[in-house]
Amino acid sequence: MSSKSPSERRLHKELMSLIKEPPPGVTIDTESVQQNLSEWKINIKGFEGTLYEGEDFQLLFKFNNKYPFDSPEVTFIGTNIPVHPHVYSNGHICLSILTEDWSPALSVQSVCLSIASMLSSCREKKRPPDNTIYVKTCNKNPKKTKWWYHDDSV
Amino acid sequence: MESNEDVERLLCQKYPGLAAELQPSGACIIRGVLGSEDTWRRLKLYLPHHPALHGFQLYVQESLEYKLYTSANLKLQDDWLLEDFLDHLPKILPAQKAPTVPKELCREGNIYYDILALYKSNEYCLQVDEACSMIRFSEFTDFEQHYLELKIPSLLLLDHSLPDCVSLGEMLTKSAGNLEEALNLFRKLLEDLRPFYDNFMDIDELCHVLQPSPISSKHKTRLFPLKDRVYLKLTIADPFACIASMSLKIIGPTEEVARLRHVLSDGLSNWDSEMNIHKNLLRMFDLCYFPMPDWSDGPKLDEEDNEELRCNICFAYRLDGGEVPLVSCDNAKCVLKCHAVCLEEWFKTLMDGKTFLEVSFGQCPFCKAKLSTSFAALLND
Repeated sequence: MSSKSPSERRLHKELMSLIKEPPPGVTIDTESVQQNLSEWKINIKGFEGTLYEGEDFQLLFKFNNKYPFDSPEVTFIGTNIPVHPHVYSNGHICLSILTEDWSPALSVQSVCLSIASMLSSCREKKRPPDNTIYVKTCNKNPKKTKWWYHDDSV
Repeated sequence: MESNEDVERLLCQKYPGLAAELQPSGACIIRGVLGSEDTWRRLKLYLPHHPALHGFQLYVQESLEYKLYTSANLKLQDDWLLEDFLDHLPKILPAQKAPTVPKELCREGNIYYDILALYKSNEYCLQVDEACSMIRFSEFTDFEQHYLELKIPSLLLLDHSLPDCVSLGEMLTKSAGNLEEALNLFRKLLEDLRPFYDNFMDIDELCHVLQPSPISSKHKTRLFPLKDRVYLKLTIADPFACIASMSLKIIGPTEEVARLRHVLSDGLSNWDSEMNIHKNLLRMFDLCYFPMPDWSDGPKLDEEDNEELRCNICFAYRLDGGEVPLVSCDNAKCVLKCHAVCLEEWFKTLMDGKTFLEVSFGQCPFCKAKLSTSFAALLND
C-alpha cells in the first residue's frame, strides 16, 4: 500500500495514540485492528464507585471511508451488554454524538469517554422502555435508527 | 587514467553536443554532434580500450549515412589522448560537402550555432539533453532559482520558472525568432519582475511564511502570522504591477478581523512607495517585526508529531498541497485548529442532507462558536 487515504491516515494516528496513551479503563484489541483497520474492538471497564464496577464490556467501532466526516458505527458486542436505559439488549446505543451530533472533531477516544461517562452517571440498571419492540424491528445498523433523544440526564 | 567524470567534464566544457557512456566492459561510447568553426558532424565514437585510443571505431554521418573510420583510414598521433583526438578531428576528417537543406526547413541560421554562441556565458548555466532535443537555461545571475526549458530546434516552450499568469509561450512565438532572442526575452522578463521578487524576498526571510510550502518562484501569494490566531494573506495578481495589483486579506476570529481591517484600510491610504511591501506592512500594523516561531526551547518538534499544531479534523499538519491548519473559531478558549479544506468538506457533508435541520455552516465543529467568514480566503487559491 503506497499512499493512505485521509481517513486511513487519521485512523492510523488515532490508533497509535490509543495504544501509546490509552485513557483510564480503555484498552484496544490490537489483534482485531491488525486484520482490518476499519473495524476496532475496544474493551472498557466499568468505573469504580458506579453501578458497573468490576464489569468488562466490549465495543465495536466500524468506520467507513468518509470518516471522520461520517460518524463511526458503535455498538456493544460480546456476552456482557450493559443494562442501561440507553443501551438496547442487541448492543445498540442511543447517544446523540453517534448520529446527529457527530462532529469530525470527535474521535474514538472521545466517544469511548462519552460512553464511559454515560454508564457512570446511571442511577438504575434497566433496559430502555421500548427494548423488546426495538430489538425486534430495528435495522442492523444503529445509525439507520431515527433516535428520539428524550433524556439527557443519564 | 581518465575516469568517466573526467570524460564528462571534458565533453561538458568543450563539446556540449557530445555525451559519453561507459560500458561495464570498460569500453566508452561517445555520441552526439561535434562542432568546429563552420562544420557540424553527428558522430559516434567507440573506444574498446578506453582511455587508450587504439582499436577505435568512429562513425561519422555524411549525407545521411554513417561512414566508418578506424586506424586503417584515419591517422592518429601516438601520444594523443581523447581530448587531442577530438580537437584534431575536424582537421583530419575529409572535408564535408555542405548539405543542401531546403530553405523553408531551416530556421534562420543553425540552432547549433546559436547554442554554441550562447554557451560560454557565465551569467547563466546552459544544458542540452542527450538527444539534443531540449535546452535548459538556469542559475541566472541574481535570479538563481529561475530556469527556462525549450524544445530544440522548434523553440517550443517546455517549462519555466515564472508565474503561470505570464503568457511566456505566447510571447515567445510572437517575438522570439531564434534561441538568443528567446533567451533575451526571458531575461528581460526577469528584469521586469525584479520588484515582484524583491518584495517577496524580504517577506520570505523576515516573516514566518506558512503557505505556500515549499515556496517557488511561480507563487504569487504569501500567508504568514500577524499575531496569535490572525494571519495575513498577500496576493500579487499581476507580477508586473506589484503594488497596483496587490491585495491583502486578514484571516482570523471575527472581531479581530473587523478591527484590523480598519487598520489595513488606513494603512493602504498612507502607503509609502519608497519602501517595500514588508516595511509598509510593519509600519501599517505598528510592528517591529512579524511573529516568528519560538524555537528557543530547544530544537523544533517535528510539526507532524506535534499534537498542538495538527488539524483537529484530519489529524495531519501539512497537507499534500502545502496547507497547514489555520482556522480557529471566535471562542478564544477553544483549542480547535483546522485546515480550511477539511472544514469545507465537513460543511458540505452537512449540506448533503442527513442533518438537514440546523445546518451548522459557519459553526465550530468543536465548541459550536461562530467561525469567521474570513477563512474563506484560504480556500480560493
